[in-house]
Amino acid sequence: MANLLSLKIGQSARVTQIRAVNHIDQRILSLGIGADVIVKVCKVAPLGDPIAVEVDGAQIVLRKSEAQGILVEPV
Amino acid sequence: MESAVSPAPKRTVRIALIGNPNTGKSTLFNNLTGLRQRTGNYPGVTVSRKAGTMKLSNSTAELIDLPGTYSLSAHSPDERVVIDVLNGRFTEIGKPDIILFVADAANLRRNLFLASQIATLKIPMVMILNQWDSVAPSGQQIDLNLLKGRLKVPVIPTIGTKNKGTLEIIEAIERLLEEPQFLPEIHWPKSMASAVDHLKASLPCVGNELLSESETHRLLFDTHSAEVSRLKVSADKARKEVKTAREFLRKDGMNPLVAEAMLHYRHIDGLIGGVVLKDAQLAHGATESIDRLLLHRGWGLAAFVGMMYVVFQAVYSWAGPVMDIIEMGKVWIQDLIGPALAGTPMLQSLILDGVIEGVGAFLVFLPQILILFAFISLLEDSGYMARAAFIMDKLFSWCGLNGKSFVPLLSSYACAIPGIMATRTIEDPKSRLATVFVAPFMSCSARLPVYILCIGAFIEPVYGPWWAGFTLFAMHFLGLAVAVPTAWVVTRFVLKTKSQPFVMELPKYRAPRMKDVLYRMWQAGWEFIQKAGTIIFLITIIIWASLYFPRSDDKAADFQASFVAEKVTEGIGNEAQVLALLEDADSELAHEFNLFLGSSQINQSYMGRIGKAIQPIFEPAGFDWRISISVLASYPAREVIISTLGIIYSLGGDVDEEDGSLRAALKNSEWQEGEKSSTPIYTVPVVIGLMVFFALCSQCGATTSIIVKEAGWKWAIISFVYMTALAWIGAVLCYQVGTNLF
Repeated sequence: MANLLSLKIGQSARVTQIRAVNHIDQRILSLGIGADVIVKVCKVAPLGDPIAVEVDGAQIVLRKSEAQGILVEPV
Repeated sequence: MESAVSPAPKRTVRIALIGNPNTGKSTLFNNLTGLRQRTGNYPGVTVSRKAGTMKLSNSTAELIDLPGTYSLSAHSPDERVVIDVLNGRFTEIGKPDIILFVADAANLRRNLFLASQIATLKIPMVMILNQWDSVAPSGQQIDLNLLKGRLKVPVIPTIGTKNKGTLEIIEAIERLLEEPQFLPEIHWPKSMASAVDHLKASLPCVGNELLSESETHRLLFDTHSAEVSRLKVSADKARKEVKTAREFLRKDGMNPLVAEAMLHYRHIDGLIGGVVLKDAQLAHGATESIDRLLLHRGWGLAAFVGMMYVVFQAVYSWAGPVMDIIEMGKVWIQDLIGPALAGTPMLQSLILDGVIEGVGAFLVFLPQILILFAFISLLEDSGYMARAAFIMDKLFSWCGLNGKSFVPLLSSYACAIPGIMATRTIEDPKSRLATVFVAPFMSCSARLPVYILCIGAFIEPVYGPWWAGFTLFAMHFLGLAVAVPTAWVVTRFVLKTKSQPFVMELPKYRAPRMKDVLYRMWQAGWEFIQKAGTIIFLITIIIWASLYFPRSDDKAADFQASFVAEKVTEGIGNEAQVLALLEDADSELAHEFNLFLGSSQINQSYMGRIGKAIQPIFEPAGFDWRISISVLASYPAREVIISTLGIIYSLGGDVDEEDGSLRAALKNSEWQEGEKSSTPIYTVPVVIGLMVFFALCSQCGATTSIIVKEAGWKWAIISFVYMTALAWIGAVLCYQVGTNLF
């Protein structure tokens, strides 16, 4: 199954599931990244990590290790 | 930990300002309170606490500015501050009567998540839609009337940076005081009530209080909740009861780990359905264009390096002239007062070398603090700070720090005081503490005189300018080389709390407001004087006393007698002639005697005696008693070593690191006795060891004071002991390896 990291910059996708990498963090959920939400990868830091994801008009920075646990299906 | 915020009198209305980060909360706080602000720490944690007084029409209210957060979840007592304040868990703060909820108007849905969590607390709320002017440019429209009807509390659109809406907020507060209004609560499924009741009944808090409903939610929904530490029962028992409570939800078809966010967002979608209209065409504006440049792989990095260079130069160089003025002012006052106190030498020394020196010792840091905080305010308010952290995170994440550690650590290369104060921009308490801990290792400008003295006297003349430059670079690099593994160990093995994931928002760029920059500078400066200033002052007085006492007229007479005897044997004249020469204050001999007296006094002072007593400890590093005393006297401030060496070598306290006579005195210094008798004390291994010692040691009373303030006594003591031990080991290694191998 695809996760956030497999998306190209500018590509949108629907979140299907947030899988615990270490533990599911409420913080990611509270930022509005949850099931059925449309996300778009919009930036990668100049050094390759972290990435910025657009959710609901806001850009949220996530480390790749956390982005990996966010499963998506491209739309 | 002591707190500066005094408990509010009973009748004062308590208002809490709360919201997500980057919503312009601080600007609103400044608008509502003006200069009537106080800062401190929350009791028992390292989170800084800001409160102020705001004027209502007939009374005043206490406004508490809570740290910006996206959710009430907490993994550590530091993060628990918000929910603790809202539940009235800090007795000296008390439960707020009214909540001012600050939402970013352009991001309503996400911002309402926290508001929806807070609704459980049943505290009257004012909903502030700040940055209202950014709604239209973001391609959205908000139907205010519809929203007001849905939220059932006063909804106030504001533009904090233009001070628009401030009066409306005050009116809304007064309306709420007359008639409380509440944000509609989420409708939980029935199983929630069973789970909450189960937790309340089975898990009493310390002091036999009950958990509030919002606190049971944290236990129920968060993994590793910090609420566990407030319970009376063991962690095992808590885990068991939480598991039982979660079963109620599971039986109802809910996954407890994701249910909360899902249900809150469903509730929010119901509240704002039809309220926010989006025009997708207009979604991106200036911010995207700026980011294309500033986050670009090449240009972005160049811009970052350029900006950080300016910040560093500003703290490192621009502060210099102002620091010189403070230094000159200090000398001017000393010269002014000095003669008036000439009749009472002890009082004169106390006032000149103790009190004025002590005040000067902390005032001299102010220029750097003010300049750094001006830049921090500009960087944060403009939205660039988050980008800087975004760019730098990769370099820091592997050793447990995060991108936000960069600015504090860079500033620490100029001075650790503003650097450690700047760690407040790091939200993750664990990364913040680790950054505070390693910041003093960065080679600050006060170490430079020691390097210049040692390199100028011993490295450059022998090995040439190339090695001199390399040594200087190596000394600056050493601190970083020690800091990185230290941070790794501290975050991995010492701080056991769970790391926060590095999650933050990239806010839209906006123009910073001068007023907020000035408030920030004022706050940082005043807080430093209040908190660290007193400790620095005390340390200076203690060190002064230990260098001054014991002192008596008898002793001075003894020193004079031995000086005269020495001069007689040198053949300058008989005793009466020498004494006559000493009578003439302008004679060369009298000057020499004064320097001799200074040196003798310091040798027999408490500090001198301790220095000699601990010399065996420094023996393995090849330090003689003079170096030992100088090292000891440099604990309040490392640059003091230069003037201490000057006094000990009878050159006077006003020598500097470029001084030829001091360099010559060190070079000619030889062991007086023992197996090394008549060999030079300052060999290359000793000199390198001395520099390494100064590079690693915690020789700065001001830094220790600021660590006490930012992280508590425990961490200050650990830092002091750890740095001193490392410095000793470093110096001993240099000496032993250098002497035995080469």
